Amino acid sequence: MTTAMEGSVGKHPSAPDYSSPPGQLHFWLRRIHSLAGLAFGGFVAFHLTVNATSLSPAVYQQEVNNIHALGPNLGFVEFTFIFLPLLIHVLYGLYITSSGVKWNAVHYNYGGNIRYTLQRVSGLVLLVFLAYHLATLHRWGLGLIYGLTHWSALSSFPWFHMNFAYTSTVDAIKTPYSHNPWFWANILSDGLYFLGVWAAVYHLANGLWTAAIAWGLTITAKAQRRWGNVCVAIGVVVGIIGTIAWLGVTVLGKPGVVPKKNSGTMVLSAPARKVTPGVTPLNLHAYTTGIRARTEKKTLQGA
Amino acid sequence: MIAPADIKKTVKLNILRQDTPDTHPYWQQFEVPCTPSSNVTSLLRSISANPVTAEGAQVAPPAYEASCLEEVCGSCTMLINGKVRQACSTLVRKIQSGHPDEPITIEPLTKFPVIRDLVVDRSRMFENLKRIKAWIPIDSSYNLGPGPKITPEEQQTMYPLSRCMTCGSCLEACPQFTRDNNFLGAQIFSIARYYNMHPNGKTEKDARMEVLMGEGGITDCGNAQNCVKVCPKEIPLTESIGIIGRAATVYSIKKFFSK
Amino acid sequence: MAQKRVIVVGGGLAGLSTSMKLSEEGVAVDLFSLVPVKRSHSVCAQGGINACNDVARQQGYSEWEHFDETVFGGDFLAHQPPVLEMARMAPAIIDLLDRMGVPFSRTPEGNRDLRLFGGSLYKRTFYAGATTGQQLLYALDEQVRHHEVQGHVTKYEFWEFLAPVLDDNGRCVGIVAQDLRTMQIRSFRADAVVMATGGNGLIFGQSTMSIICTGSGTARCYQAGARLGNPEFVQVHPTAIPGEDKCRLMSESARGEGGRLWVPKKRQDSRHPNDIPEQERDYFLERLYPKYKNIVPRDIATREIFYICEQGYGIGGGQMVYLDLTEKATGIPYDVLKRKLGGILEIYEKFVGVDPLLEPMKIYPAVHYSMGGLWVDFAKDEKTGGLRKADPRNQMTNITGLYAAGEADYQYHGANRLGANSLLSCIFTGLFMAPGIKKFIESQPPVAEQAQTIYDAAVAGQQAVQSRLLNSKGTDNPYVMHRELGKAMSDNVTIIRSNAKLRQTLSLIESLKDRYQNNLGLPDSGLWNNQSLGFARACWDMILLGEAVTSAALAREESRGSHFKIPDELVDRHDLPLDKRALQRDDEHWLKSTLVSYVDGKATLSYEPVDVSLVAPRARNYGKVTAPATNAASAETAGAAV
Repeated sequence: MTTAMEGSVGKHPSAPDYSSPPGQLHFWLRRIHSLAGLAFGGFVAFHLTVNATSLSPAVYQQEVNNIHALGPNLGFVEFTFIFLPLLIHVLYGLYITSSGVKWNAVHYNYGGNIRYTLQRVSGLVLLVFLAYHLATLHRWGLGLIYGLTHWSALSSFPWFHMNFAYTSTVDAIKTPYSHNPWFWANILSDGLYFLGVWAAVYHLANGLWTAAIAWGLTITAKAQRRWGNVCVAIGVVVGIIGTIAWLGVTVLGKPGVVPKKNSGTMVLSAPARKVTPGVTPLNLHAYTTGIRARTEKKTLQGA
Repeated sequence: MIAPADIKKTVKLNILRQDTPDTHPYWQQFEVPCTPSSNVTSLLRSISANPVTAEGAQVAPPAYEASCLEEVCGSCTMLINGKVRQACSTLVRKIQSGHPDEPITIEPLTKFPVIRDLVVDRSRMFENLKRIKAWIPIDSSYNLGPGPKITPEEQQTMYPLSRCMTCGSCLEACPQFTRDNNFLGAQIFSIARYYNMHPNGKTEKDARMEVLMGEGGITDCGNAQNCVKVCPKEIPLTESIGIIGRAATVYSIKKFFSK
Repeated sequence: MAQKRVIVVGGGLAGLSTSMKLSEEGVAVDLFSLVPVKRSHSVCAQGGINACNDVARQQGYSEWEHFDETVFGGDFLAHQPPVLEMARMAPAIIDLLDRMGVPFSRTPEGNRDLRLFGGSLYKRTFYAGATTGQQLLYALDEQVRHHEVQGHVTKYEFWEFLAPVLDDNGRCVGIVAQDLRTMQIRSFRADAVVMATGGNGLIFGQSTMSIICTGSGTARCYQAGARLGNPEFVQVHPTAIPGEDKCRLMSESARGEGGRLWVPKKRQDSRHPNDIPEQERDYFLERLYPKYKNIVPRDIATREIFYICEQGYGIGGGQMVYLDLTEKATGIPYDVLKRKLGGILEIYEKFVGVDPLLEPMKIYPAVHYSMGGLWVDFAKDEKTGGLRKADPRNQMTNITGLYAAGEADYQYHGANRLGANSLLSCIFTGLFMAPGIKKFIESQPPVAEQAQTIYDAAVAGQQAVQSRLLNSKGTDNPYVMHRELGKAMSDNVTIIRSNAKLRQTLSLIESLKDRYQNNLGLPDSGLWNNQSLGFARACWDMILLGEAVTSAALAREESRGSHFKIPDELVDRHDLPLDKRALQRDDEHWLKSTLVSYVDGKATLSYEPVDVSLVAPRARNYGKVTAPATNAASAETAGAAV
């Protein structure tokens, strides 16, 4: 008898075995990734909206107070709705972006492909931005570096303080070297924030668009276009809010402003923040702790 | 139709050649006669009749796949000027617009293993058809009466899907489909949708969904939507992807709660 | 004992339906194909598939009418019992295809829609848009894939059939084939072999066929001793887009759905077709055939187009006429035709760059189908007038155990095939012959017991041919030789034939044979996916087929169906209508099938009578108006012809 497969070319090495149905872990992971993105996207929109109130330091402080009114529950809420979704979304997003994707938006420069490529690029940009954002505002990661290097300068970086939400945010975004908005490092930092805001907006809006296809909500090209317009609108709204938030704490940011308890604001008489570019500040630690100390004292006095 | 001899011109072709699957590819330039109705397969055919490079070297003619020459068989898929196309329906005058002296580049598909020159192994596509049970189950070929009635609307939805000629264009252009992963790609999603739609094809729907929701399945689609742009038969591939996505959502919920 | 196996060569409609039915009958199938079966040439069929149906039946149509039309359309050269059997099985085949999920076009109620096709006044053609062949092929491909998954069928794609293997008794017991990638040549045992390798359009250079349709499968059996039947009957389809690489078919369905052929009444009218008013157009088929109008059978439409162009009325005085699907000419809205004919409209638009619903198409006839092919037997059932079911003789060639199906055989279409009968004959032969093949292999000793030596010898023979080809260092490139052959065949052996031209072609073929044997130069001598080698081998086959076609045409001293012969002395008498120039059908002497055998390196002819036991031959002119018509159009044409 002639044997069946002898001499035949055979199937493609990567052709999977079609006899056994695969499991669905993969499917659920992808869908959870999508849900996690939605959850974190919701947080980002909320976060930017709160920060947009920084046009008025008092309102901003109030918003921050409201959030912290959750007290010990805040940690739980933050973990469940922010960090866990973020972690899932980032880890799985990295996995799918790194597992055998062949970007080709040069030869196939169609809108959809450019959006697809930007989605992945914006994700990577956001990853870098988030690391910077968390490190500078919340010292995440810096503590570790400090522990390893004992680079004293690190310990004196200003960071977010809930009781001085406005000024501490403005301080933290600016470099400790100078608050001059035209200082190169500040342009860089402000620029990174601007990029971060818009990368997030794009990633969110486009993610909403693709999620609708993935879940099977939009099917026809027409429906996808229609929902696409809604996503653009969402992007524009969140983008405007985000830009206001960005303006509020960067370009329009007034360091040292602390809202009085009930009305108006007061300006701390901070020392002139002059640091010559390229020259290491002499006593950063004293400077930042000084600010903090003064701020706390003044507020108490004001109360 | 055929242009008079006096306007006959030549065109330069840069062809990426590869002698065997394991050897390195290399470029060769040919200069071949070209008329206003020439297409890329007719240029390749004339190289076969006179396999001499632009430098005058006698070489083996480039190997390529072609059959129907009217864009229904799906054989002659290749990269022409960097983009995936059917060589038979790629008229030279159309891709040359404005740059008649620029050489046309011809390369094999990049997402499938090269056999020789422009010939690649696309058996993965056919194997995937087996995985998703791409058939309507019938009892036998004996006369058992007509099939189910189908409305004209259903037919008009199914017919374009059934025109997929397994050419591989959608997969070549898809950034998610690579030589090393096991992504099924738009071809399979669209064909699966077709069989899931048919009144008798539906009986295998659950089995298809199991495959479509596994590794390399529908969730690996990144929605770049190149597939629908490059499909030579203009099959609504992205629509099929949406439909399979919806079916997956429904099936997963159904399965979670009732199976 | 090992399971008995059947080899099917060719994966088009005939090969796939044979494989499907054999698998279903429990016979193991090895399916060989040059290309993935899904890319076979059947994919190019456009218009539809014929069968008697409930609507036509209530209008007076029947399977018998279908049979009669087919025999009449074929100018009575087809054996009648097989045609009757095919017409009878046709409705069941449509139902089967329907069950297999072919997306047939539908009526508003959800029934399968019908269209008009050549040679019939009844709507009896089922269709799926304008890509019916593709849809049918895919449906069968899927069924065979299902069998493949179940282990019933083993596919050998990218394998080329080289020769049948015959045992000492002359029974076919396997094949020699070559892997087109590794170039490995090996033998395969089989208890029966089915040739479903399609037509041979490529011997005419440009045709509507795929470039794999070299006819070499048929030709290799012919060289091994199988007879060809009626090879001189070659269908030239009236409407195709002329092209330098191939002629792209514009389906008969374009006319079935209302498309009209016309030329300007004024010679060399240089106006844009849309600017030529209705009364200045000559809808010549409607004028000449008031009953069938634009859907006269293909041989007739083709000759009328040829004639009107010969008379100088072709577009711009050349060899092209208009095929008009514009709403202005058909009265059918744009969207309706777009839906029904999308597939072919796209082809025209892609290759010509014009939307044929807005501007008339420019078309000319092109070689399309081989009515002739491997001679096959049939077993008549005296009770039914059709064929005996499950008889091993059905579709068997003169080589025991070697069968043929589809376009590769010579049965069913006689001297001219009716549109939309080819898909039917392909599927019918496959389904109908399979039980007979099963019966045959059950009656024979298993080939597993054959001595290995005959297989080894066959392989060695093919290896010798191959090494001779690989080492040929002459100057004749096979692609160039093919071009020469194609040009001669196209010029001299298609629409109009004359003995002088046929003789001239035969002498060219003689010289091609000689050059092939002595001066061939293969541009590639490698042993990995060497396409030149395959083509060089096919080139020889095509030369031999060209010889068979041309010698048979030379011998047949009459006109019948697609074979239209003009005596040498009348060839240039353009003043006479074609019918007056040509030889007439001569039933007394030529109502017989041509059989061609390959003896001593030459085509050798013999004849056998046609089974006309069911309907008597009658005159065939489709109601052509011979007297000058009263309308101005024909008056001018008639006047011009003088």
